[in-house]
Amino acid sequence: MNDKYSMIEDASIVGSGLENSENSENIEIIKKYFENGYFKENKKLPESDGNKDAPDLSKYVNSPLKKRMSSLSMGICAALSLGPDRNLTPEEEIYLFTAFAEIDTTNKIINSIKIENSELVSPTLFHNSVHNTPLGYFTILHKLRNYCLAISDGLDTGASFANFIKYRTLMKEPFIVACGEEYSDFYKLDYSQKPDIRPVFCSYRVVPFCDKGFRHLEPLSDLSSRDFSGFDYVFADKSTYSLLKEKADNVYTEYFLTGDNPSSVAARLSIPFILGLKGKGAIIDKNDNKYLIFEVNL
Amino acid sequence: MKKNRVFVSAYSTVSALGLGVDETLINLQKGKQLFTADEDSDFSRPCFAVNRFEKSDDLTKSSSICLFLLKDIEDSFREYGDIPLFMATSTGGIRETESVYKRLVDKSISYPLFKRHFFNKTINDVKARYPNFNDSFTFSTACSSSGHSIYQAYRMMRSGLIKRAVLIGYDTLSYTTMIGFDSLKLVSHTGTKPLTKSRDGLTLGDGGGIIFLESEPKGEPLAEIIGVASNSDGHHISSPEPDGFSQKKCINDALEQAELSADDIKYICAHGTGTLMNDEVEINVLDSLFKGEVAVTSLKSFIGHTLGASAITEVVISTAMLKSGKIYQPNDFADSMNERIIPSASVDMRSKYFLKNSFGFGGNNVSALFEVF
Repeated sequence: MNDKYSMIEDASIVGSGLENSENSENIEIIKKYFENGYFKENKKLPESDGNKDAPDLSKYVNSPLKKRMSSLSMGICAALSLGPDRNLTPEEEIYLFTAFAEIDTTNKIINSIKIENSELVSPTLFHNSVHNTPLGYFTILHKLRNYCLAISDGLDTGASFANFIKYRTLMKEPFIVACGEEYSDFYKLDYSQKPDIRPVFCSYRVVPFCDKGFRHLEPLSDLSSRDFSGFDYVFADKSTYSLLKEKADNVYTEYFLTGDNPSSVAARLSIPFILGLKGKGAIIDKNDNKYLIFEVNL
Repeated sequence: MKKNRVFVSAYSTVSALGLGVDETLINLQKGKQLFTADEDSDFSRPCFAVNRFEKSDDLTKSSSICLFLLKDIEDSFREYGDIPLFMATSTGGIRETESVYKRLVDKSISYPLFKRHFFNKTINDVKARYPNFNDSFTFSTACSSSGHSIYQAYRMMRSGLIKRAVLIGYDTLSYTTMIGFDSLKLVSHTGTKPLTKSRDGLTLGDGGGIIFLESEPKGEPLAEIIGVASNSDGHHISSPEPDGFSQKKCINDALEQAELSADDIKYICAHGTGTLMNDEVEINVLDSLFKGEVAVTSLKSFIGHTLGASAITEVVISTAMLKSGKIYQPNDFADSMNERIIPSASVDMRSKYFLKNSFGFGGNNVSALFEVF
């Protein structure tokens, strides 16, 4: 286990209910949500059902390219621009964690081919369907040459994030994380499950080898043996929150924001830093039969 | 800080050239382009399909390719537990989704899209068969995807964070990619002819490659990764930067890491898709950087563009070719774009080092250097 912590800096969140052009304004809103108990009860976001209505993210993209960009691409570009782009250096690697990536674009292509029997599809749609499209647009919009990589494993993306961060934070160079999902009618085609996928996008800089921040802990298959009473706060996914809240009052969930987004653990990790919480905390994400855990010390 | 070495202990490949390295080399020697139509589609353009896997209700074709690759080298890693698994692809289960899509829309069937369409399907199929793997991730940056597996695994092993890793790149033909590339007017109507003046586009192929990396191999390693670099063009979502600035920097960064000069490289396995723009930019870049004796070929002449699988698949075949002492060109290769660096026929080659380029949509570039033993 790494005995050093990693700090999160320049964090930003945009999406449903967080559509201000200034990151500081979105952060103030998140702080108000925290004060008003949204992280403790499964409330819906005010003034919108917040779930499937795509927020208007085009205002964050000051380029004609925005006409071609999906909700995911605009959201990721917005989160990066409002957050870590302010202090971005050419050496910083940018990692996008997204479970479903450009799924709406892919769905439109498949629909065009299999339902509309098109012999050709929109060229723009096709080149926009690859997983690194959002990062591609970000580098084009800002004329950047940074290293970019998209990591994606569907419903298991949370585990991929935790696995990757475990190693990457053992290298000293700071790096950028972006995460998010877009909504798509594609999801409706799976009649066996109905995850609540929300258009929310987050980005931040990770600075390894710090004296405070977060660090990865070994996953657990059972939380009952773990005592969280010594923690000042615990942020968890919805099902873990339901499990733990009966036993402790220091448990929270950002479910009202990120829903069932499989990449939400990446956003959840930044919440204590965004809220400026002090003390010792835990970030938990249930993936399959394991509980992924990060310790936060601020 | 001490840097560990990163050796290739085992490898295998799946492509139109064959299943496994031995069959691949045998067919390479024949020098023919083995165009094969995809058994499940009516796509009219030439393809390099691999129609040799039994269909299964449980496994996607992607999973079948990966499981074959693992089986082919399993003796090399079987005894180890907790091996990090680096997967790379651009299509995942799209092919299978396409086959059921209409019935899903009609609601005449139920199909677990969340479990089967996305990349976790293949990882889960692999882990179900091989408990050796614990930490895993799937990288996806279009055509440079498996180049990133090489980049990330190399860095983690050099730093001593991990001692071994299995890297798999895989991709399968799908209507989405076949029609998608055709809509971009990037698909050859007659069969790809990369790095030639008469090139008229790419030909897609099924493909997969696997490499098992170790810092301290027990036996004689096959090769060593000695430098990997990656960057972005920041130029266009589907076309390379015309002056190749980032590609040049990427190659130079890899050379610097390997502590080699351009003159040390005698073989380059180009990205070489066969499209007008990609080949022009890449060959101009290579011509400007490599002024000495060097041979540049594209394996996509033989296996097509295997998208996310291309980097690892072509690294495996390049390593095998160099170990055999020969670099192969198709028998009917003609009209070289650059006669100084692109050989018109197969050539004898005993080169210690080779460079593999891999460039993807979004202007995503990876260059990797290998020493072959």
